[in-house]
Amino acid sequence: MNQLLQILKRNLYILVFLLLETLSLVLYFRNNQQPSARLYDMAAGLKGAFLSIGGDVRTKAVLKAENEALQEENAWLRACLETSRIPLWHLSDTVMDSLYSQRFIFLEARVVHATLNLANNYFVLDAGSSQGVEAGMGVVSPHGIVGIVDKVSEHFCSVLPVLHSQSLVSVRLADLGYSGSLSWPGVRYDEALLSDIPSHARIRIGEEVITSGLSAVYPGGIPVGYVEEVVSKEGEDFYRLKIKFSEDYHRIRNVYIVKDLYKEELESCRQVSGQI
Amino acid sequence: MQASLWSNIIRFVFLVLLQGLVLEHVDFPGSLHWMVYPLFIILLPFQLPAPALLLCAFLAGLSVDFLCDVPGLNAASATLAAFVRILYFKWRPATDVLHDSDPVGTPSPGKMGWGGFLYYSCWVILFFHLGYFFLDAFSFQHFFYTLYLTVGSSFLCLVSLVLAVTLFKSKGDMR
Repeated sequence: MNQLLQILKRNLYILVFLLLETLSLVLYFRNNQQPSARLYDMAAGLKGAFLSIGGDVRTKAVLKAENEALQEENAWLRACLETSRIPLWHLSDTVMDSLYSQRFIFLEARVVHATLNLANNYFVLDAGSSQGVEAGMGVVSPHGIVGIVDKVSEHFCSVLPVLHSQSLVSVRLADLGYSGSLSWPGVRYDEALLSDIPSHARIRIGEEVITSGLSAVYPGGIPVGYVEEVVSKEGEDFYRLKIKFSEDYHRIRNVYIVKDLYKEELESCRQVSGQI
Repeated sequence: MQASLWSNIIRFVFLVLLQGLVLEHVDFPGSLHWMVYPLFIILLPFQLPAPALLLCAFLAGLSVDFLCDVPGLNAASATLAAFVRILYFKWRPATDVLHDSDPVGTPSPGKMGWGGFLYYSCWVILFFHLGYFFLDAFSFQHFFYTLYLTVGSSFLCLVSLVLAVTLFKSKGDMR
């Protein structure tokens, strides 16, 4: 018995090691996707405030007002685009012209924190529930798409960017029209992988890739990137294409959160057809 | 002893804050991570009991985790690094590296010789980064890229260790 205790005492550090390691791994895997909700709620307000002070210092004071005015105007102009509207003319039997209802609106926001070199990155924006942001909304930038809003606090929200191992975006080749899904293989922050393009398509290097508009997250026609290389081998049924993002996520600052005014209607319609 | 306790506490607070608030938000060229708080684990005193050493490392890792929103990742790697440190001193006869047979105080080049000190630090730093990057990627899909991150970031960390040890050297001991 005494001997047993001696052995136990001598190897106590192994037990402590295993215990602490298990504890950290449990912590890590329970929060693998994203920072845990509880931790986030606790820290988000405080940290967001801290980070946006840092962000404010970086934004040159003179340019700030001008930028904001331009961004506001941009949000308005984007909302005016035809891709942001839903045609109402199927309701009418007389006038078939320019009858549109607003479908997407754009809320401006700034990126206050971004990671780029993790396998599961995340961004934090300075817009939250008080500005009408909800989880599941898409986020776009002047040159491309950014991601999907994940968690929302009062004045901030976190975004699962396209630079996340779980990210999947429905996109389309602009000229050819084939749609496929865009994922991020996780190595370089400027490259993505486009799969499910049928192999009879004649792909041109440099062809533009845009959002397909098949989801309620992004409006159709938003630029995503360019075809850089065809990776798949001969004889496969579907191509896999290496895409270069049109947005440089290193320099990203001003973004727009996309609100789909018809989202609920669309979702309920989907659910109904899912049940049938 | 009292002075050593305080210098370790100050080192803990300083390195964890530097890591969590500054370095985690700096994009280093080549996607490398600049880790400085493993220095705290390397420089903990010799006479600290093994379970306490593990606990200190775990707490340091956890504090960094809380500051940068990835709970568990740093804690797991820091605990692994502390474990490697314990095994290193267990398996390597003390007389081999150290001039004293029963060493006290902070590990330093003065006590272990530059060769021995760097060799020891390399083990701890390398295992810390191996744990960190492979846990973060959680696949061997980009094995060589992850390995590159590990080796590159370990090198950065080693450089900061050498700088810190050289800069803060006082009376043959560190800080």
